[in-house]
Amino acid sequence: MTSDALLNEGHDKPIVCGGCELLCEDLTTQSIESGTRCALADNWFAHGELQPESMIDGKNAPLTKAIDMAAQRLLSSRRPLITGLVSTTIDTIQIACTLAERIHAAIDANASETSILTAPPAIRVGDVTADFEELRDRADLAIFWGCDPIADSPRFIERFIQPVPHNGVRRTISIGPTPALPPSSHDLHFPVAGNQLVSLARIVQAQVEQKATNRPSGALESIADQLKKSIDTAHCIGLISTITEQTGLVSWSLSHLIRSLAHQKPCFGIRLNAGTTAGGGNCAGASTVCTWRFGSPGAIPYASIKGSAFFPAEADVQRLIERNEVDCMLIIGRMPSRIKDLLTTSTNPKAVVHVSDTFPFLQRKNSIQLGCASLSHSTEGGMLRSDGRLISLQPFATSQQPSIQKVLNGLLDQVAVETRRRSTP
Amino acid sequence: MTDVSPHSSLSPFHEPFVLAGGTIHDPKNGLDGIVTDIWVESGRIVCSPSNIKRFRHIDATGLIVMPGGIDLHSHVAGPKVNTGRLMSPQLGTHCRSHNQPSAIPTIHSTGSLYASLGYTTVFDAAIATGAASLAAMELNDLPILDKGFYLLAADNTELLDALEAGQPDVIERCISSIVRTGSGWGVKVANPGGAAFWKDSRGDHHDLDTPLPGRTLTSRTILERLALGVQAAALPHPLHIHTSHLGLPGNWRTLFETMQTLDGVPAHLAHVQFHSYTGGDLDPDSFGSGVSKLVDCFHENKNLTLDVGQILFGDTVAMTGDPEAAEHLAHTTGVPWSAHDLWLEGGCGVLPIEYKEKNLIHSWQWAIGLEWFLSVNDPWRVVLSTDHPNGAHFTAYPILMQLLGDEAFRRDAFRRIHPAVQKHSPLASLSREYSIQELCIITRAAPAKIAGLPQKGHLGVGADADITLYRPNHQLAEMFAMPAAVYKSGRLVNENGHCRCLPAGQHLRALHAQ
Repeated sequence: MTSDALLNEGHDKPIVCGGCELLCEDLTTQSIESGTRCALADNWFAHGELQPESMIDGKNAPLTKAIDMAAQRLLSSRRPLITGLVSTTIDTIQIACTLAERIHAAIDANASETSILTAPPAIRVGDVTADFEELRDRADLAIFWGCDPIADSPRFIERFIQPVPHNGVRRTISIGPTPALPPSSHDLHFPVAGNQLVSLARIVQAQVEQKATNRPSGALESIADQLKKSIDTAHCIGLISTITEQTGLVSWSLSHLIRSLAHQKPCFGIRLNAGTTAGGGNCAGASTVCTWRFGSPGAIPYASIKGSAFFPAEADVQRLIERNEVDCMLIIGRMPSRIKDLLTTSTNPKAVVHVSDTFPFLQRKNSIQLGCASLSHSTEGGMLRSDGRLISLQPFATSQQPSIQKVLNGLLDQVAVETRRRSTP
Repeated sequence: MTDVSPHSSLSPFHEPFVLAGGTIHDPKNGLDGIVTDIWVESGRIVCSPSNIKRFRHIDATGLIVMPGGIDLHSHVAGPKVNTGRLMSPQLGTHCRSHNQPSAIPTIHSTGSLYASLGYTTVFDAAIATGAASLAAMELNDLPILDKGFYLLAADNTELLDALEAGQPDVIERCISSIVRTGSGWGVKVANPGGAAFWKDSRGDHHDLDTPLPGRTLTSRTILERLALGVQAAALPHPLHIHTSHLGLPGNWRTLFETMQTLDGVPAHLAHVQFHSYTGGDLDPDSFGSGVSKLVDCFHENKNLTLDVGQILFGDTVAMTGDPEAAEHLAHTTGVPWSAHDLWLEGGCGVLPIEYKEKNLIHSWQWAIGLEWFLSVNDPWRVVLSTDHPNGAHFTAYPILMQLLGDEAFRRDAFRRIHPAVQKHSPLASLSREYSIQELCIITRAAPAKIAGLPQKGHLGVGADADITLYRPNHQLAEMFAMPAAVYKSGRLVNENGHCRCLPAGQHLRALHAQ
């Protein structure tokens, strides 16, 4: 039954899960209460009942006072960084970008594309992609390229691979250490080590372009031959991958292969981000807003509305923290596990201002927590799925806490007041 | 019907003022270099008041006064523009020579740069219906300018079904619903039916009468029924057409057929330069200008208007809702290429491109665009555009204006292009020079009229106080690149190239939400 039907019949409200970049919009309050069968979704909805207190250095404080102190610390900072973002809505990210401009902050949403050493393949090769539903409805061959969608986006296969495409039957091929689906006559698995994915893509591309390869025939060539045969018989091909390796070479080689195939027949790439480490489902929204505001998707060392430099693998969250190039962090939304780990292991403690509905990070000193309404239960706005589709969130529970947008707007106002105060002799 | 009420742009945040003694160019009201005063209050141009003491006196003596510029066809927001920003950081602010702005500026820079040229309104020409909400959010961050967009409704499966059924009332309702829901200003068709061919089988350069895969509908019937549907829905702007075969040799025939197909129904032909090539099938050696074959047909069909999509030499990024055309160009040139297929809709293609003076094809494109400008006899039916960023960055508009208004300047440039084009292009024999008044028409009055904005593009009583003051200069590029002052809804937003304030412009919506 569709979400609309459920609404019409008055059974339950359709609810969007922001736990990963699938932004599943077919959940209901009923399914949330009884368990969603998705660990990321269960984790996303686990914090709905909290009424987070605002705190300054580990002590409870009124929100207004905490906002006032947060503005002072951000403006006193020599090198502030704004991050988080991916568990919040697009309008929240817009406010965050305005804050970044006002306090001259670095900004990075902790998305994998900004930590790639060789910059996103879109710059060097391009990117041929499609909406997930195009994969679901059109692709009669889905190739999982070195990825594990079960771990990264648990419901991807259920929602976009298992439904029957319009032209009848879908075959799948898993390339990598583990199969995406249990092997069968329609679901093949070719075990390929992670360090061979680039070579395999290059061999298949050469075959597609009918160019000779100088490599001796071996196991990889045999797999390439079988892949090529499957590709030849397919009408529309979707290649699914996850950005996990920081060299960017797998993405680079795959983008080349997809491009060659797409010249000959309908073919597109589907890129999933690793939901478990990203900390929320709106990586694409954060990248998109940062791009229209600053010209770069993240890894921005200094936010400027006129256009900012893009330093992938240099001004991303991980590198900035590791190199101790930030002294104050404004974390907006839920704390991604990766950032928590980085802060925990950092040799040089940073001041932290965290705006969220939950505070798992237990730093006491130099820490301000600004509590807001539940991001999963009480938020209204839009998020972008990783294929770029806008998904609307509607609140399904009331909260006595202010919304995250309201808290951030309060911080923005206070930054303006404090800036004026400091510039007045 | 339209959302632009007489008071929609009212801005109380400026004091009343009079621009005194300026030389007025206001083609709509028949003022061609007439010295008179312009009175402004609450964001609008008002009658000469009885109590003039309330009005601050601003001396405009010796300055040329025009309405604010209107870009009828540009690409400033939406997913494909963002993809362009991402794909071309090498063309960004930090790396580009000569202090040029980024090929795809940030949304903020887009607004302030347009305003710095004296432009106050812009339309994005291609937003997929599914991306409309996101584009609206992005445009909300675009300062100063009033802005709207045309929806790529003809790629929407629901509308294609309605067009196939061919029931006019259903088509009209569907168009109205899409435009209302998507907060659009108009309807654009990009390569009618092309997305269906693209998704079904790559590289199929279909003609106008080939049925779409799985349908009886053809590109021609899409054009016919859609143009009528837009007319019936009473949208302010007629159907905005990017016809098939963009960029291909011999495509002048397709544009010619498109003009004839419309058969008296109002329509706007977008970036005709890219659709006016002679030559055999994919044969660059026979490439040339088809303008002379097209311009008579255009003159005869008074229902049609056009924008040129002029190219100017340099680096830029091409982006289009016609994925087939983008793929063809990317495959030919080997540059990075991004494309995205949308569910139940079309798609888009984005790629960087460099137009070179010594390249035969690029030289032809440059000459063909100028030939169009100089061949059309009625400037009210022509709009200046570079199809930003496809043909060139919008900040190059002043150069284009000098190319049109200064024959000597044009001839100098002509002597630098590919010799074969110098030898064969009809541009060599065209000596026409656009007057200041005509430049005002193709950048202000005509786009306002064609867009359906009665309160813009002129300086009559009741008009929005979107006003640009230029210092007269025979070097037209210098004159148009640096206005002395730019007012948006009565507020001074730019003065001698310096941004003075960043008011939010309004989102122009054709239909009210219900």
